[in-house]
Parts: sequence; structure tokens; C-alpha cells
Amino acid sequence: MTAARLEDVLRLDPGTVGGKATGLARLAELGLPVPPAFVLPTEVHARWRLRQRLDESDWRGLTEAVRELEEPLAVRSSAADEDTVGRSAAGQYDSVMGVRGFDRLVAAIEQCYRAVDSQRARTYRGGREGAMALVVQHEVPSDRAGVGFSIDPVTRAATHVVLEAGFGHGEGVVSGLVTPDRYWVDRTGGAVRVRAAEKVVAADGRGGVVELPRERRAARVLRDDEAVRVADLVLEAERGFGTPVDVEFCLGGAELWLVQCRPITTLP
Amino acid sequence: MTAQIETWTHDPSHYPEPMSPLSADVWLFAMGEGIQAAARELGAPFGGFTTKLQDSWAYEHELERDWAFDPERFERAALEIAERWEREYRPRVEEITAELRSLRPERPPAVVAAAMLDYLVELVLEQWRLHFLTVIPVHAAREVLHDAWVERFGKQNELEPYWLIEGLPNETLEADEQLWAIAERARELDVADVILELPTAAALERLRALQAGREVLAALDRYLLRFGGRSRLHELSEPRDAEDPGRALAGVRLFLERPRDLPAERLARSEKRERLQAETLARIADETERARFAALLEQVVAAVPLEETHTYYIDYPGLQATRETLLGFGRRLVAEGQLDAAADVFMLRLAELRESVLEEHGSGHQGLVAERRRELEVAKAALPSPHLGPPPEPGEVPSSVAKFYGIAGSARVEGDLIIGTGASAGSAEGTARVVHGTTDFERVERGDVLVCTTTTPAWTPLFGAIGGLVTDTGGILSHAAVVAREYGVPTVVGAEVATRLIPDGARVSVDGGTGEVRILRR
Repeated sequence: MTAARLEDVLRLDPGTVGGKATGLARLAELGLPVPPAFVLPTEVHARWRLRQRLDESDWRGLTEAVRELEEPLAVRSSAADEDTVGRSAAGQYDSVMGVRGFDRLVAAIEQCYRAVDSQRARTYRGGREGAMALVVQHEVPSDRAGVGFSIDPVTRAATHVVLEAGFGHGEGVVSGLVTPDRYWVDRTGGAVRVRAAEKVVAADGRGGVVELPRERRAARVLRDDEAVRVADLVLEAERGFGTPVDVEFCLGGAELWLVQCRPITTLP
Repeated sequence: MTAQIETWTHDPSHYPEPMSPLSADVWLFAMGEGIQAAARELGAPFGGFTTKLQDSWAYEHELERDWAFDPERFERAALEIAERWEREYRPRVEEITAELRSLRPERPPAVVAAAMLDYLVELVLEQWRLHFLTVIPVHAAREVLHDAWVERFGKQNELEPYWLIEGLPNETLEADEQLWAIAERARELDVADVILELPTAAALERLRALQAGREVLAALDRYLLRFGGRSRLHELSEPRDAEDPGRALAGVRLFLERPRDLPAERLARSEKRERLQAETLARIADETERARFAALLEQVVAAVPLEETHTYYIDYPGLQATRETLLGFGRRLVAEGQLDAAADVFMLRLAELRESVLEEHGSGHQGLVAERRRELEVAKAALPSPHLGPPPEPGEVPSSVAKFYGIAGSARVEGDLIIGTGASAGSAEGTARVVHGTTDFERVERGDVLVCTTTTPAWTPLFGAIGGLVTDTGGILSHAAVVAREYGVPTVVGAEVATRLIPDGARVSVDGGTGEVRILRR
């Protein structure tokens, strides 16, 4: 198996596709807005390790799968365990954004594999388990992004959805580059409470940041109605997953996308 | 390019500076619509005008009226305006301002915000219709008195009939008196030196650091709550006084520089007027005739203060609220990344703003904004052509209009002598201070001769300090002329080329009787 379409992912062993792919597949199954994607399971990585280049059959499979995706593409790691450990380290090392052209895609995939392997070398786990699944996804334009928690991640209160949002690309909020606005949306009735932050920069999605115009820094990232829209999706995901979840979302213009979802089960 | 077949004239007294696109689409448009609707409703002898922006300058095109002039209705409206204002117009005008202030366009979804913008335009249109329903009758009331006077007493002096209605209390004088009281308080609290000696920004900072200074600032804030909508220009992109306390503080400084007793001056003016009124009535022998004239005078006296007062209900707070709400749309677009600064919203046309609101997070307008700002700079550097299309027909200007606007082309220049219209008698000599609409008043020193295009009620704090006044525009009943007489400032209006010919800092003499302005030393 080379590339698995998102709708096929749930039929595969979760261990071979990783947490991110599983989360996305479940969101898609629930009918929630997820950018089109396919998954390279762990075995592709394992084969790559042998010769430090893509296996012939994987190469062909990739050509097929990518045909259905609109550029630019994002290549992101989907480790089995990644999404249950601290998130901030994850996305930073092993995702490549803004990929255009097949050669660049192959280079991006290899870059992720190398990053994972060198990281694994430092925190030895050993064996095949270390192989990483990758999600190759259409990168939707994102001028605002953030994370949403269906319960309060600190107090675990289940009375409101908590959102954190910043301008620009989602990596800004996820990696802590940007101090995000915080929104508390009442679970019933949708009343919104906001604490806007001074957002000096926006992540450009390429590892860098752009400075925001002075007057935009304290502007709210989400209006009330938009915060309610995001919170509604977070709650839908929670219902679908049957457990409290956290969700990464982004907005391109007025278009809202969910780019990741995982259960909040490991919180103390 | 098609040839202009209509005549469009530029009115420098109302539009002394180039205008931003949004200000034109919202306010200038409402001016035209407002005057047309009001003129029709009043059965006025003129049709009003329509407006447009050409190369960032505002132009008006006179309209033929398509109704019959109804002198009876027109005069009745003139004499009843004070009563009607109190009963009907003022409450509605205040309601509209409150409504404008309550709009918060940053908050709702796009469709609702767009509807809010449409509603704002509707409110502004209604408020400016009420503006002209007030102002036209007020001007007419003055002329009713003028005609009644001339009919009974003949006329020796063009200004004589108006003496009866000068020195009436109004909101401009009240605003000035409040500034004066703040100056007096600063003197009592011994912080006058801070205001007199430091540049405005530094003075504000120093006042904030002193307990007595904070007391002065608190009084200034109270003044700004009521009069903070004052601004040099109606242009919506211009910050209002409330946004820059330094401007009001500059007004306080002028009162400190020339100690005066405003309440006493007010009392003297009103006593003088009452004396004149009694003398005038005594000249009418026939009792019925006298009673009739007294009744008419009473109605005109009630109407005239509205000339200034209406601006404190419509022009200042109304446009201030309009500006605040439009800035709210600006903030909305800043949040969406479509603009870099809220004030850039004024560089958009109304339709563009509406579209951007609906588009939501659409492509940025930063390039367009920069281009429009450049256009405004270019327009500011050049002067507007006085008219577009065929030149206006000479003559045929109704006398009431000429008295307010002045007559274009009537000023003469002979070497260093400019002859305009004498508007407030007396002579003065001093340093010419050429002040443009947006410039701070900080440069004006006691005894200077103020040279400017035009004045609005927001300029009056200067009147107590200046030695003389010269304006490019206006006639003997223009705002500058009326206020100058109230303050006893020798004044020449309608000098047309004064701001261009007189260098800032030149030594000049002004004769408010003959209308002569002479450049003595450049």
C-alpha cells in the first residue's frame, strides 16, 4: 500500500497511518470541512529508510494520488504517538508547507523522513515503530487560524468551548510564535467572551513571521458570529468522536477548515 | 472624454480643501440631496444644487427648480423656524445622532454590517435634509427683517438692518465662554504658565503630571464631551477636536494671552442690542405698526442664533458620529487585513466600502489607498479650477446668496493692495498669519492678522486674540463676517487671493470699512 485516500484510512490499522491522519479521516467521515488529502502509511517510510530514497512502487503510487490534489500542498507528519504528546514540538520539525511540483513534493517527503529519523536518533525508541506516516494535504489559504478545545483545557470545565486564534498561518498559534486571542464560547446559547491579545506578528506558514500593521495588532481575529461558527464545529467533532476534543482550524477568507482533531484524553 | 455641458462651480468657502472619496460619497452627496429636498419642501425661490467630486475637489451644479416659488410658505417657514426647531427638528436630529453613535460595525456578520452602512447613509441624508430645513429659513428670516427695516426706514448703511440681531447668545459663544472659563481656572490654579510657555503636546504632558493640571484637563474633557465634535472642516477624514485635546488647549492659550471678561462682553453686547431695539421701535409712530414690527423682530431674534446653534446639533456631533461609525467600518477592514489603518477607510468610495464589507477578508486595498492619498496630495498642491463646463452666467445672484457667499470676481488687486469687502469696521496692523483649514491654531499669536480661506464656528477661539481678519471667500453675512462684528475684529472678506498673495509673516494693514488690505513689508 502506497498512498491511502482519506476515506480509506479508517479501514487501516491506526498504527500505520498515525494520529493526525486518523483524526482527519474521522472529521471527513463526519462531514466536517477538511481539506482534501491522502496518507503515506508508515511502511513507505520504512521502505525509504533502506535506500534513502523512495521505492519505485511508492513513487508511482504517489504520482497517482497527487493527481487529485490541488496545489499548493502541505506535507505533515502523522506519528502514532505524536498527537498525544506536547504538540508544540511536533509540527515545527516535520512539516513542509507551500509545496508545488512533483519534484518538490518528493523532496518535502524526504525532508520529513530525515527530520523524523534524526529526532528519533536522539530520543531512541528503536525498531520499526519509529517509522512515520505522512499526510499530504491541499494547503488551504489561511489568513486566520487557531485551535479549539471543546472543554476548557485548563479547568476541564465543560461549560464552554475555548478558542485560541491568531492572524496568518496556524503554525503561529500552535508553535507559540504568536500570542493568540482567547475566546470562550458558551456551549449553550453561544455567548462569547473575548480576551484580545497584542498580536505583533503573523506566521507566514513557511517558518517565518510578518509584522502586522500597528492598528491590526489589537484587532479581534474572530467576530462573535465567527467564534460561534468555529465552536459549533468543535462541538460537532466532539459529538462525532464521542469524547472531548481539540481541533486545529483555519480560515481562508470566510471559508472555515478543520485541519486536525484529536481527543483530549491525556490531560491530567 | 466628453465635454462638460453643465456648469459646475467650486465653492471654496464650504470646501476649502480637497475631499476624500468617502467624505464626498457620504457627506457631500447628503449636502446636495438635503438642500434639494429642503428647498422643495419650503417652496424656496431656488432649486438647490447637486454635487460631485472632480480631481478631489468638490463642485456644485445649480438646479432649476421644478416648483413654483411660494413666498408666503417660505416666509412663514422663516418666521416659525425657532419654534419648529425646538418642537420637531432638534429632537429628531438628536435622535439621529444617538442612532449613528449606537452603530458598531465591527461586530456583526457581513450582511448585517452592509445593511448598517446603508442605514448610516439614510440617517446622514435625513439629518442633512433637516440641516437645510433649518438653515434656509434662518437665512430667510434675516432677509425678512432686512426688507421690513428698509421698507420702514430706508437704508443708509448695508449692515444697519442686521445690527438688531447681532450679539445674540448662541452655542458658539457658549463654547468659547467655556474655553475662557478653563483659562480662568488655569490662572487661578497657577498652571497658566504651563499652557502659555510649552508647545501643546508638552503642555498636555506636564498638565497630566500636576494635580492642578489634571483639574484643568478634567474641565477640558467636560468641554470636549459637549463640543468635541468641533473641527476646522466638515471633511470626514479630519479628526475632530475630541480626538486631539491639544486643539482645545490651543484655544485656552489664546484666552490666556489676552485676558478678557467674556461674560461682561456678552452682557455689554446684549445691552447694546436691547438699547438699539428700543430705539428702533420708538422710531415707529403708529402703535399697530410698531407692535407688528416688534412681533416680527421677536421671531427673527429667536431664529438667528440657530445659524450657529444648528452646527452643534448637526454639523459637529452628527458628522462626528458619522466619522466614528465609518472608522468602525475601517477597524472592521483592518481586522480583516483589507486595510492597514482604520482611517484609510475614507480613501474608499462608498460602493467600494460596501463591497469590501460583503466580500469579507477580500484582497487588500493598501495599493488603492496609497494611490488615493497621492491623488489628494496632488489636488492639494494645485488649486481647483473655479468652474467646470461653460462659465457661470454673470449677475443673477440673489442678494441673500451674495451676502453669504460674496460675489466671485469682485475683489481687486493693485500692487500690494488687495480690495475685498469690508465686513467689520475698524483698522488694524499686524503680522499676517496664513492659516489653512487643517493647520493647527498654535502658530497664531495675539494681535496677528489672520488670513484664511474661510472660517467655521470652530475657529472662533481665535477671534478674541487676533487683531484683524482677512478671508478669501464670503460676503457680509458669511460666518466670518458675522462673528468678526460680534468680536469687534476689523475684517475684510471675499479678498479671493489673500491666502495666495500674502506671505505668512508679512506685515499687513486691514481696513474693515473700505475693504482694503495692504502688504506693508514682506
